Amino acid sequence: MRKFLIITGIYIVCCLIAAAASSEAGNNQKTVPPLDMERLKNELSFVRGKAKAEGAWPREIRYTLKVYDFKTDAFRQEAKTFVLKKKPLRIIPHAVGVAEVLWAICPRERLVAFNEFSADPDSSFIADKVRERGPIFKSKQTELVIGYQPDLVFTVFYSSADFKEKLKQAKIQSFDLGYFGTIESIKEQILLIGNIIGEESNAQALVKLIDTKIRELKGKLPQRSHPIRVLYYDEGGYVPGISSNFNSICKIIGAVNVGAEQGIKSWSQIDYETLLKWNPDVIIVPARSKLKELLMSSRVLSHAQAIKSGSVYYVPGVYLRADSQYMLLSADFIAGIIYRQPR
Amino acid sequence: MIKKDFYLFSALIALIVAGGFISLSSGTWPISVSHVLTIILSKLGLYAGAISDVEATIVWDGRLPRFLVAFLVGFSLGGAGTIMQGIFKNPMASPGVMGIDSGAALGAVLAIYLGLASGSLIALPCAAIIFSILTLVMVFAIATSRGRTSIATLLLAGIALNLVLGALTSFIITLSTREFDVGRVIVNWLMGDLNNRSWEHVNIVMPTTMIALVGTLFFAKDLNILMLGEETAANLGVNIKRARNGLLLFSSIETGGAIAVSGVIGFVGLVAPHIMRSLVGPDNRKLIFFSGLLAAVFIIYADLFVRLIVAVDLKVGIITSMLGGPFFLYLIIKHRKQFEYM
Repeated sequence: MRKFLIITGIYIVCCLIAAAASSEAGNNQKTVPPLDMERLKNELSFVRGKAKAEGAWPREIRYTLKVYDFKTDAFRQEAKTFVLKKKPLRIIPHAVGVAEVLWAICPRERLVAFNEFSADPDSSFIADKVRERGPIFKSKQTELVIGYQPDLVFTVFYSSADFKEKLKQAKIQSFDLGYFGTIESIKEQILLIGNIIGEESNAQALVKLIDTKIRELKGKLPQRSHPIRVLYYDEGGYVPGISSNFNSICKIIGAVNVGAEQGIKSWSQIDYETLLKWNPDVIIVPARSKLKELLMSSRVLSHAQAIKSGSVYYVPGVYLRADSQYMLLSADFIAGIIYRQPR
Repeated sequence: MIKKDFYLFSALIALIVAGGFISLSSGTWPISVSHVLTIILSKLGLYAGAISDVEATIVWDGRLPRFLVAFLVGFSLGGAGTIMQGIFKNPMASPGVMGIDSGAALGAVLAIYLGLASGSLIALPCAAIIFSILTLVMVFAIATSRGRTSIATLLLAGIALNLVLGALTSFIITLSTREFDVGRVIVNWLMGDLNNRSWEHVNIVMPTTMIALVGTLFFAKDLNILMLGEETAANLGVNIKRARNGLLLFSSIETGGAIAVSGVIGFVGLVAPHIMRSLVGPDNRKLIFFSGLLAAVFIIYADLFVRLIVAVDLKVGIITSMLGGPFFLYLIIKHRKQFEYM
C-alpha cells in the first residue's frame, strides 16, 4: 500500500511538472512591451489640456470627410460644413473608436450612453469602464438612443443609413465621422471631435501625447538592418493590407506588414501556398482561435520561416481592431511580441 | 460499353487529367509539369532522383489534395443528383432535396461558431456529416408511417426540414456577426470553398464516395426499374423498400461527405445528370458514373478558375451556381412543354 502511494505521489508530481512545463511552453508568448502597458493605457484614457476660454457658439466647422469605399478599395474625400448651435452636453458615440476618444477628452458626465461594442472587451479598451458606467444600447436600438435625448450623436461612415435617418426624423443632430484606420487619420479625427464638442485643448493634448508616446516607443525599439516582416492571418485566411489599422500599427513599430508589401489594399484571402511564398518572419493570429496549432501542423507551411522558428503568436482581437488613440497600446503590445524574434 | 460511351468516357477522363496537371503545376508558386511528374513519381517510390522539398510539399500536400477533393466532391454530387432525380422521378430533384445540404450546413456553421473548427481540421467535416445523417434520420422518421415510407412525404419532409435548418443556420450567422472573423469564415464555407484542403479532407471524402459508389451501383438496376413505377417494380421482383432506402442512404452519405469537405456547392448535382442523360441515356448504371465524372470536371475547372484567374476571394460554389443556374434555365425553357404534363 505504501509503495503504491509513493508511486502514485511520484506520478502526480511528474504530471504536475509536465503540465507546468507544457503550460510554460504554450505560454511562450509572454510579451515584454517596450512601454509599460498599464501606465500607457491610463495616460491615454484621461487627457486634459491647458484650460482656455470657451470658444464661441454657435460654431461652423469646416472639415474634410474621408471615407473608405469597401467596394472599390479606394478613399473618397468630400469637403463639408457642420453647424452647431450650442455646445453639446448630451453626447452619444455610435462606434467604439469615437467612444474611446471621447472617454479621454470629454468630461464624462456629458457622455449619455454607449453602444454594445464599447462594452465588449474584445472590441473596446474601455469596456470595463463602460460597463461600470452604462447605459449601454445595441447598435440598432435607435428608439433607445432617441429616448436618451442626446443633443449630438457621433456616427461613423459605416453606421447604418437607417439609424442615421431615424435620428434625422427625430431632429437629433448627428455627426458622421470618416476613416479611422491610420494613426494620422485618428489624430485628425481627435482634433475634429475636440472642435465639435468644444474641448479643443484636450484634443490637442491627446494628439501631443500620442506623438510623444510614439517617439518614446520608437526610441525603445532595437535597431535592425532589415525590418521584421509580419503577417496577420485570420481564421478565414484573410490578410490585412495597406488601408488596414494593422498596417498603421506595423508602421509605428518599424515592421513591414506583409499584406501591404504584397499589394493588398483592404483585406484579401490567401491560401497556404501564397503564405509560404510571401514567407513572413512572424505570423500574428487572433487569440481565442486555435489557428496557431493549425498553421504549425500544416505540411504545406512546414517550410515557412515563421513556422520553422515557431514565430506564430496569438494577439487578442481588441489590439487588432484598435482605431483610436489606443492603437498605440496595440503597437506597444505587438512590438513586445515581434522584437523578441531571433534573426 | 458502346463506342459513343467510350469516347465520352475518354473525353471526360482527358479533361480531368488535363485539369489535374494544370491544377498541380499552376499557382502562386509556378512549378513545371516535368517537376510535378518527378515529384509524383518520387512520392510513389518510382523515382530516386533529387526533388525540391518545397515544391514537393506544395504539390503533394497542397495542390494534389485540393485537386482530389474537387474531383471527389464533384463525383459525389453528380452521382447523388442522378439518384435523387431517379427516385423522385423529378428533374428538379438534387442532393439538397432531402435537407442533407441544410443539415450539413447547420453542423458546419455550429462547428465554426463554437470555435471547434479553428482547432481541428476534422471537426467541421465531422459536424457536417453527423448533422446530415441526423437530418436523413429525421426525414425518414417523419415520412415513415406503419413501416411504409411515401415518396411524396419524403419530399415534403425534406422541404420542411430544409426551411427549418436554413432558418437555424441564418440565426447562427446573425449571432456570428458580432465576431467579424467568425462571420466571415461561415459565409465563406456556405459559398463552397476548396481553399487549403489537405489529405485529412481527402481521407474524409474518399471513403464516403467509394462506399456510396459501390452501394448505388449495386442498386442502379433496381433504380432503373423503380423509375417505371413502384407497382411495375414490385411485379418485377424489386424489393422497393430496400432499394429505395438503400439508394437514399448512399446518396445522402456521399452528399454529406462532399459538403463536409467543400461547403455548399450548388447546381452541379442538378445539372450534370441532365446533361449526361441526354448523352448516355437513362440507364442509371451508366448515368450515375458519367454524371459523377461530368460534375467532377465542373468543379475541377471552377476551382481552377477561382484559383488561377480571379484569385481566392471568389468561391467555387458561386461559380458553379453562376454557370449552373443559367444552364438550368435553358433546360427548363427547352423542355417546358414536357413539364406541362407533370
